[in-house]
Amino acid sequence: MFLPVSASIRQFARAVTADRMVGDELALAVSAEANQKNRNGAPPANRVEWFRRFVLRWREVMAEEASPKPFSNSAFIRSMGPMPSEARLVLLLNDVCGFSAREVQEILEPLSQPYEELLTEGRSLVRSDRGERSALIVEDEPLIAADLRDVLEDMGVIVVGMARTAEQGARQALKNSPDIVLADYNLDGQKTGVDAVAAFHDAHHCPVIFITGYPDEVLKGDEVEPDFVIVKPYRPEAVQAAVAHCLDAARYAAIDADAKTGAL
Amino acid sequence: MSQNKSDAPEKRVEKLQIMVADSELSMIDDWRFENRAASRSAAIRSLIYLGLELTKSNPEQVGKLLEQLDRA
Repeated sequence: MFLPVSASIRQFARAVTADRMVGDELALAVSAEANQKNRNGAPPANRVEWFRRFVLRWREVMAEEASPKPFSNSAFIRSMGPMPSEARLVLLLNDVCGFSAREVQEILEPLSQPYEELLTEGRSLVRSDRGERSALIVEDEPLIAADLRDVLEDMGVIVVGMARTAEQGARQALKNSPDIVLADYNLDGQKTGVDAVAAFHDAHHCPVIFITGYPDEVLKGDEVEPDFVIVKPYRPEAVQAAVAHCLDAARYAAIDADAKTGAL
Repeated sequence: MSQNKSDAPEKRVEKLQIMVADSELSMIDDWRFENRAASRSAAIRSLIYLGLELTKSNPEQVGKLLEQLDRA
């Protein structure tokens, strides 16, 4: 099951930056640049072509020799720092975005190494030593919660809490300060995973991955849209790749600090 | 951000988040000090005001500047 294209590209950019706001801005800036360049050509025919143009334009902007004009899209894109390695891009596109091997190769061509080698390298990054990193699971179905715990522990992440309701989730997040939260969007009862996250996000800011069977309901682009969405039924490698990216990507401390004070 | 004033009492203030590169923030701060703006937020409000006013008084120049920005 696929997300809509624009949501899919936002998701990809959020995974790269591990930040909803920064990821969305990056997705918009690169898309605007790609559209600008292709404004007289045909629009992308399919999802693979959208991603191919997106990655291509991103690479081109990063490779430009001249300094970008301040306040331009290029300046913003360049200020994000280097693109992720090919191995990480392969991992993300394959395991998180769900593209096939052939599609990933089409999006990223030319690859500097054989695809299989890059995927193996990418998957080994998932298991790299990150020290003690902790996760909170907010899931009302005990079997899925237990499975997610196994998936996380398999990659060396310590599960510091398993909550079954939005209220429990918020309490445990504040008590345990996890490095990452995995939440079911459709919790039993009145409240959703978004309510759980909204209740603690101001006091404890960390990446949140939502797992849902209804991505269209979640990814509407409005204010309560979550950081990151994985579609049910999930594959363990998709969860692990998403968690690994969120834990590895640098947080944008300055932006977070500004967001907390509300100051411009 | 547009607001329908007839529906609800107007909010007195709206917090905006913007993202700029470090070097761009320095440019804003330099402008702030050169023009003695009371705060960074006040400086940005003044710059927005200038942009909006220029758009009204000289749309051709604004069009050219925007085109240059997109092509950068």
